Amino acid sequence: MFGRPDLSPLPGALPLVAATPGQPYEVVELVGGRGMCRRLTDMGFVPGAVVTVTGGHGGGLIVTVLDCRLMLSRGMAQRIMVRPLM
Amino acid sequence: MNYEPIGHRQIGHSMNVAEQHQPIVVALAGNPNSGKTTVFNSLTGSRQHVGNYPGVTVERKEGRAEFEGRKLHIVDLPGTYSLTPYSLEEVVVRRYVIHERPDVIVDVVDASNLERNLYLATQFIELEVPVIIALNMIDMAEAQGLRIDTDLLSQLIGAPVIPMVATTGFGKRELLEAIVEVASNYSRPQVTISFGSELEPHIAALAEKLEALQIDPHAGTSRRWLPIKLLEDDAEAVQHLRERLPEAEELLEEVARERRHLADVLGEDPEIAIGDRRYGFIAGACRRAIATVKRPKLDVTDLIDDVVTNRIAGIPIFLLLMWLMFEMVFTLGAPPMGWIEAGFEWLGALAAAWLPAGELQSLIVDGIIGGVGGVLVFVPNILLLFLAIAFIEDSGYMARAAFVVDRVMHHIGLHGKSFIPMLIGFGCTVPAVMATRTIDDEKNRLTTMLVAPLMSCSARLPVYLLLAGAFFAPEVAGKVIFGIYLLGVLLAILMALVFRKYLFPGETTPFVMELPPYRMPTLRGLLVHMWERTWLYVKKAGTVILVASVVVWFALTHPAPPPQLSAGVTPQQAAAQAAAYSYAGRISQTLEPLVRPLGFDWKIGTSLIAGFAAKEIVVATMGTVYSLGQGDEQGQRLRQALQSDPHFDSLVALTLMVFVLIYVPCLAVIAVVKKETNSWKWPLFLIAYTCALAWVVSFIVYQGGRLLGF
Repeated sequence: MFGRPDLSPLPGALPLVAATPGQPYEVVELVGGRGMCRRLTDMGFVPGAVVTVTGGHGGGLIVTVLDCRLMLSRGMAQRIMVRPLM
Repeated sequence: MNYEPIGHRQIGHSMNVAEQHQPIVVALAGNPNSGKTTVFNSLTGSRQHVGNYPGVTVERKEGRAEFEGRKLHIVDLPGTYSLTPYSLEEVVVRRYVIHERPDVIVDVVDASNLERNLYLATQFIELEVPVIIALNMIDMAEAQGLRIDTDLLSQLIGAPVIPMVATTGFGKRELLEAIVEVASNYSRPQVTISFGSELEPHIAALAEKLEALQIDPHAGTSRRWLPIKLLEDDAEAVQHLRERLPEAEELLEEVARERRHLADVLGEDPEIAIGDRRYGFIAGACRRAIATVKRPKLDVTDLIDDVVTNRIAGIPIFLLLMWLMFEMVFTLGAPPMGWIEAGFEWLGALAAAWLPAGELQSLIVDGIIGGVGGVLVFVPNILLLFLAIAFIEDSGYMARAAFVVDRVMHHIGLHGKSFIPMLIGFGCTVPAVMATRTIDDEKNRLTTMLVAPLMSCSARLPVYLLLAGAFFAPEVAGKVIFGIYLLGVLLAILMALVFRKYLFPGETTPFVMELPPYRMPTLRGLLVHMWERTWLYVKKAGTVILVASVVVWFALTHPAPPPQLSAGVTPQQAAAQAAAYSYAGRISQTLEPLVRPLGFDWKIGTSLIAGFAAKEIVVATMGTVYSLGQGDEQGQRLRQALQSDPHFDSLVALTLMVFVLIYVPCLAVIAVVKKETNSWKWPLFLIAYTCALAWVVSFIVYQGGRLLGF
């Protein structure tokens, strides 16, 4: 919607699909439609939240956020911008 | 939409004497997988009632309980993560809480996963409705090294916090005490969740404006709720305003301006910022109230997930588990099935001996005992199938199976979430169609709904058991049935591909799904699940199938053939002639050319027509047709009767199984598809395509089989 006026990627940010499994990342922002952003917020993906990709192949990814394991489709993981924590 | 509060209870008052006799209305809310249903079962015992929310097909479970002379009426709300009206479940929970005003809301949270689970609680706190936090599975949290200071947590979030273990009953008494206490002496919490210096002035200003305009913020709820929801651009709140305020558009325009301004200042959409602050509030409370003693390095869930969601081993493990499930259902189910069969045989013989020969004897022995008995024989198998499905659901493997098959589903244009309705479809197609509601994507949802009936449901199982049992050696029968199930799956995949390509083209929308931690299902939970579903099957046998059996019996015995027809023939021939002469016989004979190419005769045709209502009726009708056809040899088992029919052989039996697998699931499914899609278009399409597909596939099987010399 109308978050940041400039939609160029934030420095150092990358989509969650590109994250290295096992490494902790911090959510920077959500890029996508209203409904999806809200859904992701409800599930704990808010800026500052720590996420780790713990598995996944082919279709979806298994990620851990707020101590809870979620399955995300690649499309969804594409919209979550993260930054490495280490 | 009706926005008037349904109950006129005031919140924030003391109970007067008259109300002491009114039951306390308690709503159970909570995330999926928080153990909400276990808490419900623990509170209500067996005094439950399952219904639907008005207008929607979300299941509504209610039950009663009593505590120290006070009556409690407990409503189990659907599991949700939030009160955002994003999914049907969330809308239901929100409307119930706002408009029906339960006396107390018990938010069941998973103690070992507080930060996520309390997100829903923050929204009840925002609403300022009387809420109690049931800290369920506290034992697991402690085993994980978490020490939760419940008194401090309660102070920080402004609601009573009751630690409990629903599976053992620990904390149940304290929860009930808290419910009675809150119901009689509720005072508004002293805690407000602050949304920060940018948002708060806007919330306050908007609240004042709404108050000046005398907009009712849902009588009795917080004055902050509606402003917060408007700033979140919440569709239901906008609707509420439009219905109450003639000059709503003006105000909404102003809200939109404020939202744009806030987005600039905050650098993110206001609704995300608000969500962020809620998590911040929870994180702050948890930091203070929870001490992590030590976390065991070895997490069982991690270990199991490493194996079952493994790239290579995942799918073979899944297939192995499915195979084990069917093996168990068939092998363990066989002996009790024999007992029930023998019981009905005895009952039939008894009735035949006691009742004078004639219409009444024929109705009871051939119609009712033959029809309903033929269906009840399969209760053991169905019980076991539902037990297995309940185990898969309750243990947490269901979501993993969805993950594992996601890769495959992806290729047919669906995603892993579609798999859950399909797996439930092995039990019964009706809940399967209802389960498609969790699929956010409309195209995926319709596709799943249309192919779910191809997952062979338990009602079709009796047909397979009967036919495979009669025409295949015992060691082959199980494999034949497994093959039929597999064919259903393959056809579902094929049809999904076709539908996604031609009916609903386009990309699928992304999705997110929780993978709950593994849990050992409780025996009680499994039994409750299994019994609820099996009871529906038994009830169907006692009602729909009973009526259908009587109708089929009547259609098969009336009108009676003229006496000269049966002169000088054997009793068996006479009975066969009578059936052919009857209404059902005549209709089926007219239609016989249609099913002839599939190797079916008019007797099978009759069963298939009757089977439109429900699949068990195919067996029930055969029971009646063959019971009548046996003439003097009452009590001979249906299986043997089929074997001695010269028309039947293993290929006809196989073709019939294939046809029954594919064609129209049952009337209940048609009705639920109509209800879920809100149009006759899809249920009619479902009937048409399944019948056409059934004919084509059966034709290939039968004619192919004959060509190959079977």
